[in-house]
Amino acid sequence: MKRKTPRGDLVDLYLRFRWLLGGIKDLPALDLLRKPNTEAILAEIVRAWREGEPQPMQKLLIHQEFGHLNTIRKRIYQLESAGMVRFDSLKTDSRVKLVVPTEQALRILANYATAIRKAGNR
Amino acid sequence: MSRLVSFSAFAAVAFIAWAVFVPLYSLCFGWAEFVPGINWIYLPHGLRVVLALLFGIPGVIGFTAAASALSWTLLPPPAPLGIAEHLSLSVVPALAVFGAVRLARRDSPSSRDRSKISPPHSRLDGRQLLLLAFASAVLNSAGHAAVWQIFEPSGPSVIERYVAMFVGDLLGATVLLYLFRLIVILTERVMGRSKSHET
Repeated sequence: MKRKTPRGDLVDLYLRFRWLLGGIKDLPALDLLRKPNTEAILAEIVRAWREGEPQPMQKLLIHQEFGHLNTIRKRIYQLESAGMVRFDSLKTDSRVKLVVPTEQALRILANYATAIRKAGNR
Repeated sequence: MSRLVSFSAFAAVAFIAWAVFVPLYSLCFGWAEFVPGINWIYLPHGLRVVLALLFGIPGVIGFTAAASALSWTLLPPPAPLGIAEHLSLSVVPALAVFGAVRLARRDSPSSRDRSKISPPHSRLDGRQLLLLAFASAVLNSAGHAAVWQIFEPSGPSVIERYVAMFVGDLLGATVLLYLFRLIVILTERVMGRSKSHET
């Protein structure tokens, strides 16, 4: 059996710190999706991503039905802070910011779908 | 020997963290105290959870020793039954948090199995963390209620103190975890901005 060294313990501590940080960042956002149009923006991001064409930030900002472009930008950054979207850069142009849903967002939307299906079955 | 060094170091860090945080917290949140030692928003319970998750057993030992030393200094118990109650009340939070954390740490990365570092096995879910706060609050307040019932059967209402402690622990842990979340998000945002300025 291999003996643990202090350095090995520090590596373990670092790994546990990362693990804990992940959990803290993953805490459910309190009421973000209740803010006006936030859910609609997320739905649009997921729709585009599912069709294989994730939208760049600039393209999302011109959706006037979601509000002023500054508001849309703010909502997208709030979604990013809540861990629901992330930014990927285009392979051909690193300046383009593609907005992509995270697993957490997909899980939330899947939960909504289940709840709607259950309500429909009643 | 080296294992003992890191064990003691982790316990010492947990001890210091508790000994620094709790007096500062008491200064700021004294107004929310139900009775001495029970607060409607007990942030240190969140610290217990974090220390136990981060350091494991040394963390639990560290905050238990610090809590025991602090309460002994502030409110020396009358001998001999008081000492037994004091020791029991010191051990209850440790057992409660340790029991709840054991549930969440089943998937934590350990040196025995480095393959667990890679996702999804190593992932600590945010909901799991909230569940842990809830479970440890239930265990801690129930444990305290049992000790009060044994040592102070004719004391103030156990149910009232149990409810206040449960609410305080749950609220405190949740508030502290969300406070950490806010700090992490703001730090990442600031670091992200400084990086984008560099490029």
